Amino acid sequence: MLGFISWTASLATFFILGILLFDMVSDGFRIMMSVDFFTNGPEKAGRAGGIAPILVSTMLVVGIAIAVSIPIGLATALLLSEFTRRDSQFAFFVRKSLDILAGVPSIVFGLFGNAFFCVYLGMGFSILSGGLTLACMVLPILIRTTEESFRAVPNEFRHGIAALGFTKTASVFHLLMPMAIPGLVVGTILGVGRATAETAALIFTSGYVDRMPESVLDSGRTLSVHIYDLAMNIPGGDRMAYATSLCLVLILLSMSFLTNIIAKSVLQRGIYTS
Amino acid sequence: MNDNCTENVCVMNGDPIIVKDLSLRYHNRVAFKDVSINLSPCTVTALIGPSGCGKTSFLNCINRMTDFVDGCQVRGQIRVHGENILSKQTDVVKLRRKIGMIFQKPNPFPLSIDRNISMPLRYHGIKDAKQRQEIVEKSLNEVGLWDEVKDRLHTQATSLSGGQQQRLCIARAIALEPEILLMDEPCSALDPQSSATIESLIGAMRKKFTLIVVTHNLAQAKRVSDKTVIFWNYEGFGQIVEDGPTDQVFFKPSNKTAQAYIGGHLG
Repeated sequence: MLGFISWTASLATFFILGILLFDMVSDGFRIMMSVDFFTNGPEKAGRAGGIAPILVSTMLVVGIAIAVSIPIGLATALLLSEFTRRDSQFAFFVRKSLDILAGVPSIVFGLFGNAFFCVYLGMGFSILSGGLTLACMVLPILIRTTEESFRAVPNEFRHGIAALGFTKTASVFHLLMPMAIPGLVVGTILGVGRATAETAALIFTSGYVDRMPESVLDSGRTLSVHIYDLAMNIPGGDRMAYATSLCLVLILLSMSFLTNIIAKSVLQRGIYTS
Repeated sequence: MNDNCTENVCVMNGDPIIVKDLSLRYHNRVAFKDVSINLSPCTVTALIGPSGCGKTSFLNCINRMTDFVDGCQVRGQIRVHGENILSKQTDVVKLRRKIGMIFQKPNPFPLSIDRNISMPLRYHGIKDAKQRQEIVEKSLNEVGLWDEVKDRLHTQATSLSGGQQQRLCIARAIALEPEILLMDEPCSALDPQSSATIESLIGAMRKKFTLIVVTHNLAQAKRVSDKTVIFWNYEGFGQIVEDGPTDQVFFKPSNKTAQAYIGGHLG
C-alpha cells in the first residue's frame, strides 16, 4: 500500500514537471530558436520582437546584486566564523537576524527596497535600486553558506598556520579563504539563481520599462518581470511568455549544473595548487 | 640521516627557558598549578606523565597556543631570553616564529608538498623563489624526506603516508629556523616504523634546537631525551613531581610517585 502511494506520488511529481516543460517547450521553443528573439527588443508591448533589453537589464540587476553582496557577505561570514567566539552574543544576534531575513517574503523586500532605495535615497525605479534590493535578499543565503564553508575548515589547520607565525588576517588570506572558496562559489551561484528568478521584489524597485537601459539609473525589466507582465497584463502575450520562461528555466538549469560541476571538481580537488 | 643538523650550533645561546609559578585553568577546572622549572637550551626535554596531568596544556603555554582556547587562563611567567612571553606586550606572531610546534596529528595543509614549506617562507619575507627552493630542499633533507618526494614536490601533501606527513610538518617548522621546537606526542598517531624515524630525527635535531617533547611512551622518553620531567595529577590538578637528567629520573628517581610510575606500578 505504502509502495503504491509512493509510486503515485513520485509519478505525480514527474508529470507536473512534464506538463510544465511540455507547455513551455511546445509553445516557446520555436520562438526561442530564432536569433531575432535574442537580438531584438520587444514590440507591440511584448507580443512580438525579442528580449534583448530584458536580458541586458537582468544581467545588470543580478550583476549589481552580486557585486554588492559578495564583499559584504564575505566580510560578515569572516567575522562570524573567524573573528568572533562561537558563544559571542553579537554573532548570535547577527545569525538570528540572518535567519529571519532569509525567511522574509520577497514582496516585503520589494516594499523595503521601494521605500528605502527608490524613495528615501532617491534612486527611483532603477536597475540600481533593483540590484541593491536583490543584494539584501541574497545576503542571508550567501553569508550562511560562506560561513559554513569557513567552519568546515578543520581547526588543526588554523592552529597549524598560527604555530608558523601567521597573523590571523594572513592565515585567512593564505589558507582559510582558498579552502573556503568552493563554498563561496556555490553560495554565490545559489544567490545568483535566487536573484535571477526573482519577480516580486523587482516590480517595486527596478520597474517595468522594456527599453534597452542606458545606465543603471534607468528603469529596466528583468526576465521574470517580463514573464509576469506578458502573462497577466498583455492579452495575446502568452507565447512570448512561454519562450521567455523557457529561456529563464534554461539559464537557471545551467546554473544548477554549473554549481554541481564546480562543487564536484573543486571540492574534491581541495585547494591543491603547485 | 641527518648530518646537517649536527654541524649547526644551537641558537639559544645558553639561555634556559625559565618557567615560574605557572598555573593554567580552563573555566573552573585547574589543569596545573604553580609549576616552576628551568628548561635547558639545546637539549631534548621529555614531558611524561599520565593523561590529564597537564603536559600538553603546559606545552601549549610556551608558544601561547593557549590563546586559542576559550576560557583558558594562564598565570605566572615563562621567560625566554629574559622576556616574559605571557605578558600582554608580547608579539605572539613573532614568538611563534621563534617557537615552532609539531602537533599530535600530522596537519600538512591541503597544498602541494613544496607549497607547504615555501608558503610560510614567502610570508616571512623570503621573496626570492630560488632561495625558497634551496630552503625547501634543505629542510626536506634534514627530515630525510627529500629522496622520497623530490620527484613529486608538486603533488598534494595529503597524499603522503602518515609518517611522511609528520616529517613534512617537521620540515615546515624547521624551515623557519625556530629556536625552540615543541612536539606534542609527535609519534602517537604513527606506526612503529615511522615513530622510529621521527625518534632518530629528534636525536639528530637536539644540537640545533631546544626540543620539548610530550610523550606517553616512557621507553621513547628514555631513548630520545636528555632531560625528563614527570607531571602528575595530585589533588585534582597537574604538578611536576620529578625532573632532571633522563638517566637520573629513570634510574634513581627521588619521588615515590615517580618511582612507582617509572617502575610501571602506577599510571
